[in-house]
Amino acid sequence: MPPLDQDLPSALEARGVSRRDFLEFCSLMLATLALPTRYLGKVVSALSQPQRPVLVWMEFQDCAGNTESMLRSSHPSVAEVVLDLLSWEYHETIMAGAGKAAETTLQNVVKNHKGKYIAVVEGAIPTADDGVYCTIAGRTALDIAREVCSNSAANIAVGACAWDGGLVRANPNPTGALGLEEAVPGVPVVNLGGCPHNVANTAAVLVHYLTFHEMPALDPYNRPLFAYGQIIHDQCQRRAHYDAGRFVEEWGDEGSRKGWCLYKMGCKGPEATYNCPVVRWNDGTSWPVQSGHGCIACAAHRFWDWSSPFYKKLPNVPGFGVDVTAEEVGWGVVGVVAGVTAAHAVGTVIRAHKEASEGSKESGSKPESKSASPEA
Amino acid sequence: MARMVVDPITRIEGHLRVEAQVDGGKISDAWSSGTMFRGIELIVRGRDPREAWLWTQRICAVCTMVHALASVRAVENALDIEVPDNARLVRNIISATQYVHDHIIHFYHLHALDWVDITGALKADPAKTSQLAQSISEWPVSSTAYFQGVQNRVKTLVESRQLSLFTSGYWGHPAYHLPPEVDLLAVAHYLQALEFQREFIRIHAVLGGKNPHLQSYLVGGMSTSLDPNEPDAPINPERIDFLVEVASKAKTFVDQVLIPDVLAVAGFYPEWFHLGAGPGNYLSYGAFPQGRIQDIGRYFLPRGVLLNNDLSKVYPVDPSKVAEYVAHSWYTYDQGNNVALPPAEGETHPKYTGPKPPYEFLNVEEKYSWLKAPRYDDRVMEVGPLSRMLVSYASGQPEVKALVDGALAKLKAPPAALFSTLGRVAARALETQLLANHLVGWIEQLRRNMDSGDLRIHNGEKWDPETWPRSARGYGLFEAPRGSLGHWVEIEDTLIKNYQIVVPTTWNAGPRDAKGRRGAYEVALLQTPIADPERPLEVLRTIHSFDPCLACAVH
Amino acid sequence: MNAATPAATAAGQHHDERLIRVYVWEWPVRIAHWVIFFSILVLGFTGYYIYDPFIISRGHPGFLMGTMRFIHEVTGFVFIAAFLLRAYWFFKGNRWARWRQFLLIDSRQWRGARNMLRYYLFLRREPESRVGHNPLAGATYSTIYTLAVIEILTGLALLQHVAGGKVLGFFIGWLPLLITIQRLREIHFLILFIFGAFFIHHVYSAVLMSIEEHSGLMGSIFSGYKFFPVDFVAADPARIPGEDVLPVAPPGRGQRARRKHAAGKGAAPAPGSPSTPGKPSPH
Ligand code: HEM
Ligand code: HEM
Ligand code: NFV
Ligand code: SF4
Ligand code: SF4
Ligand code: F3S
Ligand SMILES: [Mg+2]
Repeated sequence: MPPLDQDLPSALEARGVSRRDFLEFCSLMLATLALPTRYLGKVVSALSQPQRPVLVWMEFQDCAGNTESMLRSSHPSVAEVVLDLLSWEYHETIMAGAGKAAETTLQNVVKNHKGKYIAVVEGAIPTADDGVYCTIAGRTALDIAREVCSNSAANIAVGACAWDGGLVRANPNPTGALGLEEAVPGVPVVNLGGCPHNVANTAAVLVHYLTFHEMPALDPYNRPLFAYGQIIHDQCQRRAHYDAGRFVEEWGDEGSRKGWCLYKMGCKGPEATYNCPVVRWNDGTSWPVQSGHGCIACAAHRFWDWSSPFYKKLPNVPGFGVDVTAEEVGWGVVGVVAGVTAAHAVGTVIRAHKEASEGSKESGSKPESKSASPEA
Repeated sequence: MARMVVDPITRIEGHLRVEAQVDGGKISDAWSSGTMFRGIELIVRGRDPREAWLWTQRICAVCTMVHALASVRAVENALDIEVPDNARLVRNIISATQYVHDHIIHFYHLHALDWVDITGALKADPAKTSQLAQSISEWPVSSTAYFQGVQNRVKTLVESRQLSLFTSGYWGHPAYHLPPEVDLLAVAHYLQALEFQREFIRIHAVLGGKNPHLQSYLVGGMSTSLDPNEPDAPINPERIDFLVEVASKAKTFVDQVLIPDVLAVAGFYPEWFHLGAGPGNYLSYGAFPQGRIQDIGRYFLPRGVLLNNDLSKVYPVDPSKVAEYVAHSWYTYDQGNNVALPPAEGETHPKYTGPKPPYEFLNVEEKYSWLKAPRYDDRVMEVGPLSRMLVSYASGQPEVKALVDGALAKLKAPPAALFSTLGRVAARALETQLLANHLVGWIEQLRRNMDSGDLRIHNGEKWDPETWPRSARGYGLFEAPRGSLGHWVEIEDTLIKNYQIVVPTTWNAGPRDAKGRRGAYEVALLQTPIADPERPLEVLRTIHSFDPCLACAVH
Repeated sequence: MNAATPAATAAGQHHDERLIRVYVWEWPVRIAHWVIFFSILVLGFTGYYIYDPFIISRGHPGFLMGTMRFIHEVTGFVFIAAFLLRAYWFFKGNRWARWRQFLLIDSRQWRGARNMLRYYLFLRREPESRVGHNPLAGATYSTIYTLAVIEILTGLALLQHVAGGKVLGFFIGWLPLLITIQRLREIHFLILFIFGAFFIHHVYSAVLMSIEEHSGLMGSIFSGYKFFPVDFVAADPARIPGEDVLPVAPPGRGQRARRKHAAGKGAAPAPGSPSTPGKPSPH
């Protein structure tokens, strides 16, 4: 691709990124986004703009898992994302200034880049009791989210908490936590579920946005299809064992050493759509199932409440104790009906005998037997 | 006399606010407040204790996995489950990796900018920087051209007038006084450490599937089966080779980059070996069992308490002496405001009584934080690497003694210098080195077990809840990177009835207790000089030296 | 004729006591019934296996789960086809197949259901006989058909989830947005047991009723025919407006049935089978 080389501004070199690395990185982005190579030029030029788009990263009721995941970015490297591709101006966990300096920086972005900056949200937003469960500089998370996310060009909710309230919102949701979409209705949001998000996908979304000024194709949950379009189970390297009926039966057993399927240990790979088995984690090193533990469907909607308990195949049945499984409920229903039916059969036989002995003594109809014309 | 407010305190995990009274350019009183609450202790109630670790692990991802470990230990303790030796080893390897990783990120990415002026790097002579680098370390990435490249990168950044993460920094603050060459060296290593940490953490990916939030813990052991002959086993010879390779690189990085950098930076700020002293009582639960978890005497980092900065006597730890106050915390206790409850009987009833947001100041006379105030034997404690190193030193842990004495000699300082802001930084660095030294050995031990045919990784005797008693209580203790961590669990009818978590940062960043005694941060900030209340660099130095994690502290 | 035939109970009120053969269950009803029955057997077995792979191929090559899932999914569509056929017949079938038969929408049906319930509770001697289903049975079947709809919807949603597909997504993609996949899976799973419980009750009551009614009920789900006195059928309330002509059985078949009946009357009752002494016989 020699013509592209000429397009590359020398500013890129000055940033310490080699031409080759950069092209390699752009091609990788294309692959992640499943775009044809003819878009390479567009990606390259978009990513090498001298004026970098501004990004602010807001943390609310979070555990910083998505921040940490971001710090593990390898393609592009975290330094490239944070320093070269974007002007990453607000991010509490890693930004230089604190207190007033931080507040002013955020206010400046909202004011000076109104309608142009990207807002990333990590963590849930508490809405109970006027939002007192999360304040920053004396303002509630809700207040800040409303301001920052309604003045941005795009909002990205990273991780389960920002998407649907995540762990924080799990029953009994003590703080009335919600995801961004619900807490600040009406603003456009792209959701990158997962607990945390896998930065490989987030980086690709950012690159897509920088290149095309729009978000990649989304599913009904506003999640990018390229990452959330397929269930874990269909991409899992243990799938052949599943199909063949080879299962880990106990932790640490022979099957677990041979890498057999974890379905019986509660693996929720058949529930969750995510691309873990393919992009994997930490520069493609591994993913949960590969380390021998089932998937907990961390990229599924409201997974904390709805995909748990994690070591059981199915959720608890509402109305029954949490220690009662769906299977026990099912067999219970069958058992009760079988019992009642058997009892009825016995009753019927007893009645027949009674009637037989009565019938030999008297004849004539009981009042009860007067009935049942079809018209009745 | 003015009240200064620093909120948000950045380059930490979570939402921390400090209010301080400044008199004559010095802090005369301080209040530390956590401003975010999630209620995880309430959320795990009624759930399966075997999965509590998956939930509580999400308390924090900066110290990811430490809550997972404390949680499985608590349940194992309650149900009297002993884990196989391989599981102990895998847990230790993961934890040691976590320490090294967390401490490196802390120094370079969360703390360094308190000492290093990025713009100073522009004035540096790359050739001199190269000389300096080569004089303090063997680290090969130290050519003039390399430092020139880094400087160019900083220059482009500054000239673009888009400073990204550095936009809000306190550049040119009078409290910065590193020579430009050291600034440039540190900036270069800031970038290198970013790359390093993401390579290094692949150890967690192998042993935990992913980082953050590893997913291989189990009550009773680990899910990472090992087999010398199975290519699909989570741990096999090939994976071990990989771990050894990554861990060896980490040792080199720590020896050749982290330690020289810490010593170099510390050398230019001697006054900070006299500032920032904490309450003087140090707690460590001990970490890295070398045998069964009950054999406390065989922990690699010993358990103990030191009182009043006295290194001559190490007191044993009795976990039942831990208790939490809520007198100045936004909670209520059934028995009133002024009692301290041990976590085994702990309560979590959130009740916000602070000012209505948006607010300017907290009402520090009343309740002012989401953190509870933990006390040990009714004493304020400091926890963290400094406590661990001091307890180890005082207990005569030979390696720690050698490392600490060596560093003190280099800095020409007495042991008392450690009771300070930079003492915490130094202790953290030494601890990093100590663990980096052992990581490869522990991985090799795992290999030896595997090769000798010991493949046990999980004890499944009590996996089935049917085997459990109707009710059970237990606790799991661990030293997280930031200090002493405990999870207390009460199980009834196979489900969690009560769950209480007392976290390192709760110890350090907690508010006053019912007796009005300040928490560790609040003590440490006293007497801190403040050059410019609008640019609270000095506050950040001391607070950051504790490596705060507020998501942990409140949970 | 036998006293258990309800029309006979008020002897003398009926003018025409001749037994006729009625074509109650037309072929789509019967086909649907038996296809549904057999597919539920297969779906239940394979479905349970999908839930809990109790047979495992320890290390042996094989494709057990894959096969089970394949059979389940294919049979799922057979089940759907049978259901659709039956659903069509709710509107096109004879009076006994129409949808009204399955709903307790008027007071007469409520009363009938109540009578039937009292019969089951031993509070009443006579079952509530009808040419088609008794109202309580009708209500039970509509519950079962409703569960079948739920099973089909959840099944299709699961299928779309595991197999994808735009067409399927178009038809069923909305469901997982309302109810999460895990919950759908659980509903899908639990209905298996409700079918199981229904099955027990259903076969029991079919046997019981055919003994009580002597209308040839058991045979009817194979042949389609039941046997009743003409009057009884004439008074059948399940009339479809405009349909007044009764399908009268060809005489030969009816005669044979009558002869059989007459012969059976004198025979000793089978052990355990309820006999009905003391009822006025039409003969
Ligand atoms: C899972 C198995 C079964 C299911 C779900 C099922 C379902 C049904 C349904 C829905 C009907 C109503 C027919 C209609 O009008 O659509 C029906 C009728 C009937 N079924 Fe089944 N059936 C099952 C098994 C059987 C078996 C094994 C037998 C025979 C032993 C049987 C005998 C009958 C009879 C005799 C009727 C007519 C009953 C009446 O008039 O109320 N069924 N069944
Ligand atoms: C009487 C009808 C049916 C019964 C009793 C039945 C039963 C079951 C059961 C017990 C499961 C396992 C659930 C689990 O634990 O994961 C299952 C799964 C499934 N069923 Fe059905 N099912 C029925 C009808 C259908 C129909 C009509 C379809 C639609 C095609 C269908 C499609 C599926 C699919 C796709 C799965 C999931 C398979 C997988 O996980 O790969 N089922 N079924
Ligand atoms: N404090 C704290 Fe943690 C640690 N280390 C937990 O136990 O950081 Ni998030
Ligand atoms: S989604 Fe998970 S990783 Fe992200 S903030 Fe929430 S708990 Fe942490
Ligand atoms: S391990 Fe989980 S995701 Fe993989 S095949 Fe088995 S059930 Fe599916
Ligand atoms: S738990 Fe999450 S990380 Fe992937 S394998 Fe499952 S979606
Ligand atoms: Mg607590």
